[in-house]
Amino acid sequence: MRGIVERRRLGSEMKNHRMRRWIQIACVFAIAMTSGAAWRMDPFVFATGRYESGDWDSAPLVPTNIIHALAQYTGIPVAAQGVTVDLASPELFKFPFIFLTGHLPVRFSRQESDNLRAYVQRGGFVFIDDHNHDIDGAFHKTATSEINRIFGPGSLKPMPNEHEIFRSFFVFEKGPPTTSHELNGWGDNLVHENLFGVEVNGRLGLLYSNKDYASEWGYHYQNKRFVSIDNTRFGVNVIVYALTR
Amino acid sequence: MSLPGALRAFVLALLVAALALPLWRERDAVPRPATNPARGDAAALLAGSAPPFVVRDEGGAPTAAELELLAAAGERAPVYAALPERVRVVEASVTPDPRAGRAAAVSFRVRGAGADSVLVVLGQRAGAVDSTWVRLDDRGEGAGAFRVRPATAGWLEWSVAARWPSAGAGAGGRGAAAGAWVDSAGPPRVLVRAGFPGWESKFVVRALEESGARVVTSLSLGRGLAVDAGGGGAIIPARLAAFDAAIVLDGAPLADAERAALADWASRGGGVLLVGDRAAFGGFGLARAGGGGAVVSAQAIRWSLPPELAPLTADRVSGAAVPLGATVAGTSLGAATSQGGVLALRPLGRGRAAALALSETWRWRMEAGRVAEHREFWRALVDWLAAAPRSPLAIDVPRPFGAPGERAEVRVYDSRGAEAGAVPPLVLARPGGGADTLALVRDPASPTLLRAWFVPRRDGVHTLAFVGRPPEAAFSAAPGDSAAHADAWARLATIAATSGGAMLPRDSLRATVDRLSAGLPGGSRGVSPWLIFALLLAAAGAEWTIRRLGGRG
Repeated sequence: MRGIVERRRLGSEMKNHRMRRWIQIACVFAIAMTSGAAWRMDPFVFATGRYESGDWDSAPLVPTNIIHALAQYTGIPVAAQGVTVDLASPELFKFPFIFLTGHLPVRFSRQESDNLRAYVQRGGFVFIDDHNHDIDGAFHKTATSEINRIFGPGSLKPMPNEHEIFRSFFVFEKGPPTTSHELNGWGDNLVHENLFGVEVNGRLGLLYSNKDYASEWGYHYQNKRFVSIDNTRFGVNVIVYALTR
Repeated sequence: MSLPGALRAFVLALLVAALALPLWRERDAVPRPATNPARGDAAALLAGSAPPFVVRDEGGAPTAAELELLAAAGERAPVYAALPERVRVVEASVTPDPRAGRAAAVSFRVRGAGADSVLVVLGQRAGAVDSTWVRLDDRGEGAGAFRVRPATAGWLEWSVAARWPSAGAGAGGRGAAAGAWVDSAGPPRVLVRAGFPGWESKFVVRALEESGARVVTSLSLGRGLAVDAGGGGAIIPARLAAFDAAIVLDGAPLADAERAALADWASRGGGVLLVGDRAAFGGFGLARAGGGGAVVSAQAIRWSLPPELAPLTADRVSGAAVPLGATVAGTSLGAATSQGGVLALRPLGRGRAAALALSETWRWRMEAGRVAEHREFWRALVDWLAAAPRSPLAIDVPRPFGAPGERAEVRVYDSRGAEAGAVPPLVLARPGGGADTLALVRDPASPTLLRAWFVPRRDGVHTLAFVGRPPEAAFSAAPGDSAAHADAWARLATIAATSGGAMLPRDSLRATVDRLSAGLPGGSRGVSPWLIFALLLAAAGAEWTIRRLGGRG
């Protein structure tokens, strides 16, 4: 009997949780739809890239959190749900912003490499985050090697902390905001001073980070109320930059 | 010599004479055609017996003296002339008053053999700058245009020549020249009102910036924030004065006052493009609202643009659009689908306005990979919008090429209004120094049009300006220019036709000459020399027979 009551209680909580989630998603969507005259504009869709090697799906909570932040801080129409798109698919080109992360070694297939190169050269924006925050880690070594292979040796360069991306919405005077995960005893235990980028025709087309924003933003957006300073604000900057530059 | 011997010698001489007579008579009496008379004895062509026909098979354009000779000869005999080389650019012209750093077009017409293709090459002083294949129709005519972006201001000339693909580099047909006075303005300054950021706003701005335009974007991010403080303000006349063109993207907010300011600015020389659901805004006279949003396939769009505009490609791409409804009088459709208009263009006062139904052109760039084409589409569209003359007094030279000694016309368009006063003096600066003030005559049929004429005395570029202002137009005088050539060929065709002859392709001309020569009379119509020869032969035979029968042989 006690077990049944417990299951009912848990079931009820689950129902409430689902309902709350739907209400929150509806709120996000409503904010996006009513926040200006751009009701007819296609909303921004947060796309996560799926690649054959590694663990592309290591940060499943990041899209929802960034979508929430976009809707919370800006009037940009945003789709309530993100999408997952194969790097090797032509569908990739329908989403000019894409987020990649992972822990494991990365080796892009030929088609994935070709698509990524064309994607950035056409004007798409790729944000890659090292989920290990470890410059000696497998992801960093293989991902940076792959980036230099695809875009040319030395194409991935450190970005100045005065870069426009740190002022595209919120102002980050000291460059990329530090994450609580950088010094958590895992990874290289370093505060990474710079982000890295690949520029095409003088414009940032690929942003690479060792700061482990995938972990920093990998929590349920409801819990944002417990943090003193919203750490997803830099995510808003990245999206606004990708949409406007 | 005995009497029979003398008689035999006499008969033999008569026989030889009879044999030679036909040849002599033929050479002396049969009329022969005159071929390329300008190279030979012109006096012989015009005096004495007329030739049966006159042939001109040279490839070059006839000179004035040759035309006079042929006209006189045509009074006496039919003139048959070879058409110009197999392919020839008969006309080339540039968009009036292009601006430096902005797109213009050099249009051309080609004539050659029917249903064939020719390579048309655009050249500038430095050499060939562009080329394109042109398919000629059944009548042997074709047309096309090169988009050009002048890099410097001042007088610029382009040459357009056609090359026959199989005939080698030296076998090109005669070319034509085009020239224009390029305004001193730089790359266009564009204001983009985009509302909330999206992929279309990003890629439109990027396309324009990559092509050299100076773009200020007006983006709102919500919560009272704007991306660019300089671009986020209201659209007011004072602000618009710093731009050449303004683009209002789909969904962008636009207050009534801003809309009125844009329409007024366009009528005074600005260029306004309304995109997507903004296209049906009143005050611009473009198009009425269509049937709402739709998805338009690139392959379903039919383009019919002015040559200085660039179409989007017919790839397997579809994008959101708000097809245009019925267009207002004075508006032309530059692109359409069965769902409605896609691009509407119109002059608006001294400026220009356009409406674009497509609100997702970025898909051409990202999905189809047409980066250069997408960039050119937007840049050419902005250039077109920004190319309207700002000054209410505009100088135009309808035919900017001519020969020294030929009268040239200058037009001045005055849209300042009745109370503006007199038009300032129009000064012609001649090459090598010297200037004349031209007398402007108002056209009685069109009060805003004034005309003036002048005669260039020597080769070179003549510039035209209102007194105290920099030059705004030019005329290039040079002998043997393309217009003169075109006139010469046209006059030769008239001479040939009125004389009873014709202008024919070179091969046909050769066959015609052979046919006409074969039909020429062989000589005198009197007693045939062959008859005389036969009679003499019979007499000789009779003499010989008489001698044999008489036993004295």
